[in-house]
Amino acid sequence: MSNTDNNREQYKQNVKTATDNYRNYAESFEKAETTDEKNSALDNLSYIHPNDLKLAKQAFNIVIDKSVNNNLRLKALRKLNNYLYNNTGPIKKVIKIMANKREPVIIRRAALQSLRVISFSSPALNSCMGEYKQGLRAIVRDADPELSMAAIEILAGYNDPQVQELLKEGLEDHSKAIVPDAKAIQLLGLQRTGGYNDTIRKHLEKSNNPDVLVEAITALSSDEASQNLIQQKLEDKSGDKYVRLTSLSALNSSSPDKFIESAKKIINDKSDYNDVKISSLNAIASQPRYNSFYNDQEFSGNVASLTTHENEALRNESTRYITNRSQFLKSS
Amino acid sequence: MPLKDNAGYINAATADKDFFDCLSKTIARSNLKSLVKLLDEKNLIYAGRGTNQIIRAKGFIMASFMGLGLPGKALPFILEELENGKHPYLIAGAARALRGSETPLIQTLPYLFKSISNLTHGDDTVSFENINEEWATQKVTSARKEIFETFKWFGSYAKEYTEQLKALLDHNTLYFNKDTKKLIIETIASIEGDTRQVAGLCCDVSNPGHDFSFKKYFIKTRPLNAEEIVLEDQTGNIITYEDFFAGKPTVVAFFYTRCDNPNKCSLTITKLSQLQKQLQEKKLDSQVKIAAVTYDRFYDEPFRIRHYCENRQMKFNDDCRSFRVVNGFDALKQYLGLGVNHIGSFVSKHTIEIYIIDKSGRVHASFTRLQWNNDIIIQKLDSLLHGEKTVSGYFKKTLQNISSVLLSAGVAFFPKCPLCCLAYLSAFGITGANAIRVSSWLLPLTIIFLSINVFVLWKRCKSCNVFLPLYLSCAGIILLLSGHFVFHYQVIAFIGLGLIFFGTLFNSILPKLILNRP
Repeated sequence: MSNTDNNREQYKQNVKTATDNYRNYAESFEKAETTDEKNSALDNLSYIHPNDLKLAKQAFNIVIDKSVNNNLRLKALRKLNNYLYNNTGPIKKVIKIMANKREPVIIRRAALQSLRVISFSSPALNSCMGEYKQGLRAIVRDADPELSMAAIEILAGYNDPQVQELLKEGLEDHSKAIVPDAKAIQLLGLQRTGGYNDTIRKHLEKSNNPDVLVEAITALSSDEASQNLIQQKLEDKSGDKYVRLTSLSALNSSSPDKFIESAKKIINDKSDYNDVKISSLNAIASQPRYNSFYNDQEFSGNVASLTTHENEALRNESTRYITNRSQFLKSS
Repeated sequence: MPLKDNAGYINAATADKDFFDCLSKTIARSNLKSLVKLLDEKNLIYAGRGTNQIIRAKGFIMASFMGLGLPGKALPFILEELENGKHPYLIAGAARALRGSETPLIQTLPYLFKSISNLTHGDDTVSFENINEEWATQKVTSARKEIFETFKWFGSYAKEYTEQLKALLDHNTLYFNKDTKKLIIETIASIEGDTRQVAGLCCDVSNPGHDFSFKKYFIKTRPLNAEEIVLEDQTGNIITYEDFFAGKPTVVAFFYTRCDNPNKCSLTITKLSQLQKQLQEKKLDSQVKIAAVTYDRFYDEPFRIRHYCENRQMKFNDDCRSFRVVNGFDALKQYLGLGVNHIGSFVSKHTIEIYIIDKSGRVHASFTRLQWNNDIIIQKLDSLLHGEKTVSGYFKKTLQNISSVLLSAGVAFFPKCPLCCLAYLSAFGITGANAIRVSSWLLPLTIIFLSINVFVLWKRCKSCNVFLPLYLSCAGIILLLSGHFVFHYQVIAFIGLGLIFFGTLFNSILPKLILNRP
């Protein structure tokens, strides 16, 4: 018998064992009467198959029964994602559990988690999208910060205008803030039409918090009106290194001319940091505007001088640049 | 149309709350004409305003038509949202608006049906109770609900859609929850239970947006400062507007790579590529140019537009290119009346639009808001390419060119005093002094003709952006009137007549002089 045949046989055996185990555990769950028996059966079941309707309904009844022990409800809910995936009725009930402030927080969090898991591709949840969003809106200001933050994040991902307005208000008046500034900017940056860029730009101008600056630069990377400001952040040697690297990446993507101009300054400046120089050289290699740097004698000379630098990464990047340049000059 | 609140005209600096309050008051005044103008995304009140605010304003206005009555001019905006929109608030507003019509408009049904599939990415709960409401809490509805409520309202007018609605139940089982299915079943029952007698539908269900009577192409004659416009193509070549758009008719469509609506920019470029293929098959590709111009001149670098168009099967060559406008986007926007609104460098709202530009750079036809049909574009191109060669085309063009000369000659040779009148009457063999009676209305008549002449000249000069003929004619009019009435010296009046005539003659040959200067 060849290795392939062995593997195939082994695989079949594994599947059979898993199926048998599933059936046994499912049967023990069906027959379980006490909480302990149900707990133990659910511990063994890794999931409940969506075609196992009777079993799924039995588990779902545990989930919606408030008189049942919370741990058991929690375990049952966690095994039901496959069942929820295709069933709108149970989805609506789980949405209600999530939004119901009288339910234990632990169950509400699990309900939200299940909905989040299936939201990736469930057509059934898609058909209840209105109810789902409405349920999330109900918990945006929930007493539980975890639920509240998750709802804000999900709604912002759907470009919910009301949540975006709340985030904007929080940035303008901290007494109304529902999340920290950096998080608010990150979530407002998800709106691709740039409706909140003026507010974010004010934070980029005034804030000293590196987290806020990084999020603001990311959000404004393709905003024309912010390019000079981002360039200033890149060239500011006293600034946070991660802020500078984020600025470099933003300019490289949206304003190649400004990026090349700043990158040259950074490379030519002997006192600038090595890791900023390395990133600049690395990014410049991907720029299609070859003429603006390969034909610059002074700049290329400075890069050549870095080929003997003590920093290995800088040495490698500069050597790569010089090799690419000589190929470019030969071909042109 | 500027809106005014207590603090003055609405502009980009107006706070959102004041903006929406002002809008609510406008709706309360029930001025339908003003409301229709507010549906246009390029209305000045939307300048500098974000997508969310524009969506809320437009959706609310559309929904208000249910109570106020649906004006015909609002239909293209409403059908645009039903056919191509993705946003539940706008779709719900548009579906409601159709219920404001006095009688059900069966031509709108294909669009209403199409909107169901546009919502497959996800519906949402909405409310039209209060434009300033933070969350939809009062009288909550949803886009899907509004669509099916509108179908119910159509009743027997929508009877040809019952099969399609039934098919939704069979084929979209996972996309519709139990409540929606119940609503669909109720809708079908309502349509089938309606006993009103209605004639059959006029349109193809499978292909909405198919040359509707209210979807017109129109010719715009706004002035264009072509020198201002500098373009960069997909390979980074910098050229002027004239370099590309003069010489051959051009089909130009607008898009941007960051557009997240698959029914808009992505489909626009795909259809433009299909048009390119159709033109090749009909061997018209060497006679027509194709241009895809991005709205997003900052973000859409040459490599981005190149990849975007190539991924949608566009084959670039000298006559088929994609551009970003490096300089003069506002001039181009004004010339074509582009349906786009920006906030900073970002596109906040835009429509679908494609233009046919003739070889001298003037707009020959445009198809906006609704999906265009490539066959109709080809027909228009064909008539543009071959129309002038026919007798009627030649006659039409000649008549267009000589009309202003004839008017000018008419003014110049029209009898302007009793003596002239007598002389004219004598020339026709009629003698006598009866014509003197007309002297009382000859002067006002002359002034009316002169005014018409000046108006026609002004319109034409504005379209060509050359005003010398107008200045010549105005100077002629001043000389004519002052020579006759102030100085009583006929030579001055005749010089004036001559200037009017030459001004108008010059105007008639303007298109030839500026052939390469659209």
